[in-house]
Formats: sequence, C-alpha cells, structure tokens
Amino acid sequence: MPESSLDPARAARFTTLYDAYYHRILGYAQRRILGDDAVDIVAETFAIAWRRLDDVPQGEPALYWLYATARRVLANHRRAESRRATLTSAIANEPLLAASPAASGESRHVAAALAQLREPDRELLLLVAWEGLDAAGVAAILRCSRNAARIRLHRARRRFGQALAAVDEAKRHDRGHVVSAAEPIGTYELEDSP
Amino acid sequence: MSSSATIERLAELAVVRDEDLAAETRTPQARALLSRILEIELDASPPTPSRRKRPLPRRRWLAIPAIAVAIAASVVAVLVSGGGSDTAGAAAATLRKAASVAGLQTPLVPGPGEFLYTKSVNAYTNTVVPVGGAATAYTYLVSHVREAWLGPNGGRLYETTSNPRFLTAKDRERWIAAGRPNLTEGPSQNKLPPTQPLDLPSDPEALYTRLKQDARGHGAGLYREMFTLIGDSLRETAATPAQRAALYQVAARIPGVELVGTVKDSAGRPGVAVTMSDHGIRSTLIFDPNTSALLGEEQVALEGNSYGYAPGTRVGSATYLVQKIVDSDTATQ
Repeated sequence: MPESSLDPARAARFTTLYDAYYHRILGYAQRRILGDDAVDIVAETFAIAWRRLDDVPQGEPALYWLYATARRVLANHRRAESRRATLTSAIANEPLLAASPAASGESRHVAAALAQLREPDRELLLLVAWEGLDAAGVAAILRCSRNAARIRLHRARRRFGQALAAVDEAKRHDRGHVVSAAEPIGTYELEDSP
Repeated sequence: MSSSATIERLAELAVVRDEDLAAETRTPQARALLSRILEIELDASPPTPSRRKRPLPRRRWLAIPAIAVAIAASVVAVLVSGGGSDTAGAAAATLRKAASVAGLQTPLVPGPGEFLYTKSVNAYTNTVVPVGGAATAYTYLVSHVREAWLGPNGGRLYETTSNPRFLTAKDRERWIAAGRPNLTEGPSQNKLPPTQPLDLPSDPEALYTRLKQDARGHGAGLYREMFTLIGDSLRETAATPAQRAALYQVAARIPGVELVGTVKDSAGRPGVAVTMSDHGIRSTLIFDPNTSALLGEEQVALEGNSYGYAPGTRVGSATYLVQKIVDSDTATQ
C-alpha cells in the first residue's frame, strides 16, 4: 500500500501523544524493569496506542490509558520472561520494581518494607509515589471507582506503615529479617479528592 | 507518618525521575521508534484492535521453545490437513481422556532433598536490535540442550547452545551488516530458587476462569494465549496430578483446539498431538497417551503469517526427553 495511505490527521495526533508522554511511559517502565527491556515495553505500548488510537481518550486520560496499557504489556512481558526461565525462576517471584536503593540505610528500610507488601498494594503506592498520580488517575488505570481507589490506597498506606515498623523493629533487634508484624504507626488520612 | 511523607519516602526509591527523561523523546532512538510505529499502518487496512501486525522487534526473545530436531514430516502433513468441527470435537474427547489419565499418575513433585530433573532439546528465536534501531534488527533460531533440577530448597539449570541459523535471508543480511557478531555462547550454569507449588487451581472450572483472566489483553488471541499458558504449566513445573488433569480439562474446552492424532515425536516416541493456530502460527502439543506427560511441542509458521516466514518454517520447538525425581542436583538417574 502506498505511503499516502497514512492518514495525516491520525499520524499527527499520535505524534503529539508520543511526544507528550514518551518520557512518562519510559520512566514508568524503567522504574519497574531492569535494563533494555524497558525500551521494549515502551515500544509495545505505543504500538498498541497507534493501532487503537480511536480508543485512546483525549486530554489527561490519554496518559492514564497509556499507563494502563504499559501495565498490561509489562505483566505479559514478565510472564513471558518467567516462562522462559522456567516458572520457578527468580523472575517469576521478583517484585514488580527496578528500584535499587543502595544509597542509604534509610532507603533500604523503605525498600524492605515495600517488598513485604502484596503486589496490588505495592503497585498502588508506586503509581502515586512514582507516577505522581492522584485517585482519579489510579482509578482510571486500575479500572475502579475513585472512591475504591482512595480506600485501597488508604489500606495500602496502612499496611506499608505496618511493614515499615516491622522492618525497623527487626533492624533494632539486629535480627536482619522481619519476624512479626508490628502495630500500626501514626494515622493515615484518605487522599484529598482531586 | 503522614500520607505525604509515606509517598515522599517511596518516591526516593525510584531509579529515575520523569523530569530527567524529558529530553529522551528527541533522541534518535525515540524518533526511530516513532517512525517504525507509524510504518505499521502502511501495510494494513484500517486499524482494528483484533488485527495483529508484525510485532516490534524485541531485544531478546520473540518466541518460546522450538525443537532442535524436526518432528516427523508426517506430523506436519496431517496438521495441514486437519481442521473443522470434527477434529475439534475429537480433540476435546482426547483431552478429556488425557485429563483422567493425568489425574491417576504418581505425583512428580520433589520432596525434601529431591529434585525434579527435566532434560529437553529445544530451539527458539532470539532477536537482536543493533544501535541502528529496529530497521537493523535481526532474528535467529538457536538450539539448546537444557537440563533443569527443581527442588524445594533451590535447584540448578545447565544449558548448552548450538547451531544458530536465520529464518529469512533478510535476517542474515542484517546480521552481516552488523558485523557478523557471535551468536553462540558457551554452556551456561545457573542456580534456581526454591521451587514453588504451581499456583493454579485444580478445579477445572476455577482453572478455566483463572487462565482466561491471565490471558486477558491478548484480544483475538485470547484462546491461543490460554493454550500457551497450558503448555507453560505442563512443562518443567511441579504440577500435581490433579492440576495436570485440570489443565487437560481446560484445554478440551478451548475453542480452536484440534486433534492431529497419533504421531511420533522427534525422539521416536508415540504420542497424541493437539494443535491450535492463530496469527499465522500453529502451536502443537504432543503428550504421552499412557501417562499424559508432555513429550514435545512446536510452533510452525503458516501461509500468510505476519512475520514473513516461509510457510512450514519451524520457529520454536521442544522435546522433553526425561522428567523424573532424582536425589541430587547433579543426578540424572
């Protein structure tokens, strides 16, 4: 088919979308997967966006759509990786993040607490902390109501606080690992409505 | 700790921040990717979510295991002639029978001090993207002999690589243009983490729902993905007899699965083959009718496949030669 079959308006809209959000999706991928695989995640995400451009909403929700797509691409990628390295490999059990907080003991505590969480909690917290999303964004990506997103976020924060307290406790006793969950610390507000 | 403090502490873990990546969209790599994506449209009719174009080249793998030694040519001949509701119904009946056989088998689950040893001969594709970007990417098929010892306290994986070859002339040309980099590696040896029980329900209904859920996001390829997941769960896993039975039960329900009939695998063992075709690739599973053990699998390109492979090209395969419980991570008997 000749090159002129490319719809200029469609290509222009996609290019605008690509230029606006390429770095956001690249960041999302690089924070969750090591090495060059992040580029593959970005490529597949935008390829899907191009093929399904009519489904991509306008405005800010377009970014949410891209995050949601990248999330599925990443999940498929990880599943494929675990297949290849056998289902019992380290990859299959690896937490869904590429953070390497070797800088300080403080960071290591936070990372250790994060690793204690179940994946849905971890994902939720990192969408907020790393992607800078609010409840509306989280709701759009996880396909739930804003209220449900707020409640889940609240619970995830609470469990993270518990895990952090447990890690701190374990370190204080020099046990090197978490042996029990501690009581919740502090208070946790629901996120303000966007 | 306040909620904002929680978020701030987590934010500090990020290896990279978006603001530091803002210029990335102007890099040659990002512009090349944009061009490549826009090209996807050129050879296509108006885009539909269900229509799958040639995927963007991956840095590493495109397909899962393929056989080093060809499965008997007669298999392929039968596969090509197969099709229609008769073979689908026959496949379902055969798979239900396989399920009942699987459920009666002695568990192949390693206990303390034991390992599940699997030896296989397989081949699969690797894709390399040189610095020139997607337009210079090349894919090659490479053979492996793979030995895995899976144990509750960890295990070992030993693999040898041989016989890399190109599936298309274009791939070979691009490899030459890239300076003929070496495509083989020496034997690799890796430790494996403790084997976990296979996290799948043994109730067929629940398993069907679960696999369908896991396969979501594959659009028109949903059932093909379910078929793939079943294959994944049967190979090199500590699946219980009940789980294996459920996997065959689910396979019997997947639309599009067809019975090939009795075949011989590349090791000369008789087996029953079922197949599923999707997006120009035909996937086949061969299992032992007496034990329902997975003997082998293959992926073959069909006419009109979107990868540009000649029809009949074997793009992935595996033959499982040995699967047994052994006493150490060096034992093979």
